Amino acid sequence: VAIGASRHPSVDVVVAYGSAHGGAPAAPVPGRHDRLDPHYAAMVAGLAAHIDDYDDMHLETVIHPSAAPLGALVAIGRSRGVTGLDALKAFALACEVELRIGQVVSPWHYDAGWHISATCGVIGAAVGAGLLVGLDATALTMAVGLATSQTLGLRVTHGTMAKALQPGKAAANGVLAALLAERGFTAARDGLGGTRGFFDVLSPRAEADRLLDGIGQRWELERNTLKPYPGGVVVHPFIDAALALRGGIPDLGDVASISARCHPLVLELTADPDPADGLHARLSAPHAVAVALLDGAAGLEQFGDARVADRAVAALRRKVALVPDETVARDEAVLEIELANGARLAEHVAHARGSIDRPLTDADLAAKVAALVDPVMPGRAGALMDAVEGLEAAPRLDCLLAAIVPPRSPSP
Amino acid sequence: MTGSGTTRALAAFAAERSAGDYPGEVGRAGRRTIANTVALAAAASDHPAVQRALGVAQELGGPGQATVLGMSSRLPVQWAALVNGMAAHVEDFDDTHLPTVIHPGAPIVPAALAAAEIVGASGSALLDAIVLGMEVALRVGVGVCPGHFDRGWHLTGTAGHFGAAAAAARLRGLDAEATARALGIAATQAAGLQVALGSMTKAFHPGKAAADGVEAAGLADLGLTAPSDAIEGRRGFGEVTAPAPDYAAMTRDLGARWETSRNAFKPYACGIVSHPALDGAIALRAVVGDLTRVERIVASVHPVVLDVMGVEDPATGLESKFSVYHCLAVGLVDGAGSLQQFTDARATDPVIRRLRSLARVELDPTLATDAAEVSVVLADGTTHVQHVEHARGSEHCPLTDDELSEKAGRLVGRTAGDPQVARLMECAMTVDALRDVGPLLHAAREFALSRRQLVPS
Repeated sequence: VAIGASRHPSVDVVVAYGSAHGGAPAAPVPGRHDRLDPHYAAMVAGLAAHIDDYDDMHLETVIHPSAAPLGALVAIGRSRGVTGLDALKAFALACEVELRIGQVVSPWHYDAGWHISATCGVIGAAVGAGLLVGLDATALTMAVGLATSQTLGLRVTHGTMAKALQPGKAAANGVLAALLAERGFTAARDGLGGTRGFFDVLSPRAEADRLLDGIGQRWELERNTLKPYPGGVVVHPFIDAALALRGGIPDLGDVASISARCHPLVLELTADPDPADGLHARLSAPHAVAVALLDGAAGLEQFGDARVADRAVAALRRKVALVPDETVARDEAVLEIELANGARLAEHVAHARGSIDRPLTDADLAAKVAALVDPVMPGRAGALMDAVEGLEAAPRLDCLLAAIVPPRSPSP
Repeated sequence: MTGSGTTRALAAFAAERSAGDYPGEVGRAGRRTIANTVALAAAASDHPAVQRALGVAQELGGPGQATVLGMSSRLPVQWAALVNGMAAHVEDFDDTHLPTVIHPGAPIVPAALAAAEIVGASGSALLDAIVLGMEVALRVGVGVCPGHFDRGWHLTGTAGHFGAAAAAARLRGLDAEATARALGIAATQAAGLQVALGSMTKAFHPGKAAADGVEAAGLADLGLTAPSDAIEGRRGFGEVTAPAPDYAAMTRDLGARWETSRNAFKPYACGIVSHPALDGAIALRAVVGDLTRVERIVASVHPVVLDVMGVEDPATGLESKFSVYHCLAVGLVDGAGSLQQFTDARATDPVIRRLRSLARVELDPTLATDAAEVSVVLADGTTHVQHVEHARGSEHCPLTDDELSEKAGRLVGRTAGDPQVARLMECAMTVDALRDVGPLLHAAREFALSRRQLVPS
């Protein structure tokens, strides 16, 4: 996903800042020839992994866990000479810590207005970076304390580039926390649970017991899901339904009205009938339904500014009415289409593709990766998948980090 | 919507206010803030916390765009801002806007200095940016207080982000629209928890605010999009971090009435809310005489004192800065509250420890935060009482310029008359006459180099 987003203007901005104000170019930028210092490499990778809203999702906490830890991994994995297995372990533990902190404060923290992938992500990134630089338990505690003093992520940013900057900055802040802790910098001993610490200040309620419940036996990371389409997962069942109904409508000009029944919260999040641009469209159910019906697909192109501005798409969007229904689950949708001749088509999606009940297969994932990587680095998707497959046995991260960037001399 | 346009109004104020368009007392507050902040940061450049942050910045590397105060090192803008912001606050001896307990100098002066160096700004442009940045931070703080503080946020970190971004944006010449985006990028990063008090991370808060502010202005300049209603918008800074934000207070009489002129300078190197208690203890020192006869010390203070100054038996100099008990003891023993009273040695001194153990605090919500009453009860039953109406250095009892110079001199073991001290103070107090900030930075370096071994007073 980060490679797929590597041409995004927001990535250009942070690469430009990091090139002008950053240090020795020690770390790669996914999908690009640029190299940056660890702090800005972490920021760009975390941002790129999230900007298209195409990453991953732990539904209970609505955390996209991997963006911030990935930033830390890309930033300092190679310079510290860690093995593939250690890197994988650091990444998994970072995600696990992030998700468990999220569980302690869910749903109250997100409902209060925090972008939970960044607030919890900064702590995950600090843990991941701390493990990569080899901190002991005491220093790792300090890194976590430093991370709790660098929380970020207001949901007012949604629909702007600042939203994706948040997991990017979370990654960078986590790297900074780990590097400071490595030098003996001190922080709160209990930045999470202490008085006026993270749980206390950033959430109206916290269930601290959940942090360590079954830790090491039960892995929240196993409940992470990978998105088959960009955009908010709450929109995804509508896409599935629209794609299923499309074959039964020979001429989309015949569509008279579309009714989409969903959970009231989903309606609140996704009702925008006239999104301003591609970023806003990622959380618009009317856009998702319209574009899936018209294009028979729902990839990055369908959520690009061009399709958002398209007149036919806009006309079809206006025919979509969202109907709140308490009996419909959050990951469920019922789509009903009425044609001009009075005929009605209906599709019920109990669980969206890519949800925990209908996870992407390895083949689906490989196809997603290829679709994202090929336009940026033609023919390199296979090498990337191989490098990930071989990570546990790799003595160093060189192979993986070489696979995320284009070949050294760009083809003419 | 409530507060509609608040972020834009603050951005327009920072971006569009005419050069020098503020009352003389506001300019004076800005110059004094620069003098105090630069002296503190230069004097603390060898502090272990500062050295560790400097080490990380040097490890990351990058172009030498801005100066580390008191040193010859140069760093990329955001890291110079980080290190200087930490150094200015690490001794807890800086400045305070008491209504919000924001220390505006530490996040804002370093951010502005770093930005000024990279654009080659004049001294008067620097002063404008610092005055406007301070006003933005303090206005945001006033609007979210007291609920934001009570919830556990460290405002020097949170509100400091807005001031640092506004000052850096002003120096970069961003227009109101871009400045609003810079404030949005800063708003979403506004952080700093009170749980960090007593560790190096407390000083990291203004440093990070300065760094994030400088970076936010740079990212906004490069076109990063962000909300233009990040403060007052739905799920914005106000609503998410404060129970009852008062947006009107952020913009009411903006430019006509100034919070910046209320910034006060600390005479003592510890948390400001215990300064009135320390004043009382120092005053009682002469009348009490033989301290072995002390049986009990009682300080009546505003309840906020125990929120931030409640450490009963601090083990380190750093922890002792957050102990009202330690303040009472050193006030009685040393008659002072400078850096020398908050060292590891002083924190573990047996005489100090004994007096600390005899001290009790009574919370009195009717007292102002700059007032206190200290009583010392002797073995024979005699009781001496000292009432403090306004703490020294508070808004109503401000340090004079001469006292500020003496304070700066003590930081390096010298007096106000020593040339390196006088030169730095003169540069800061006439900063708007400088063609660029070079002479101020040079004076800061000479000032730090003049340091003598500190001796307990």
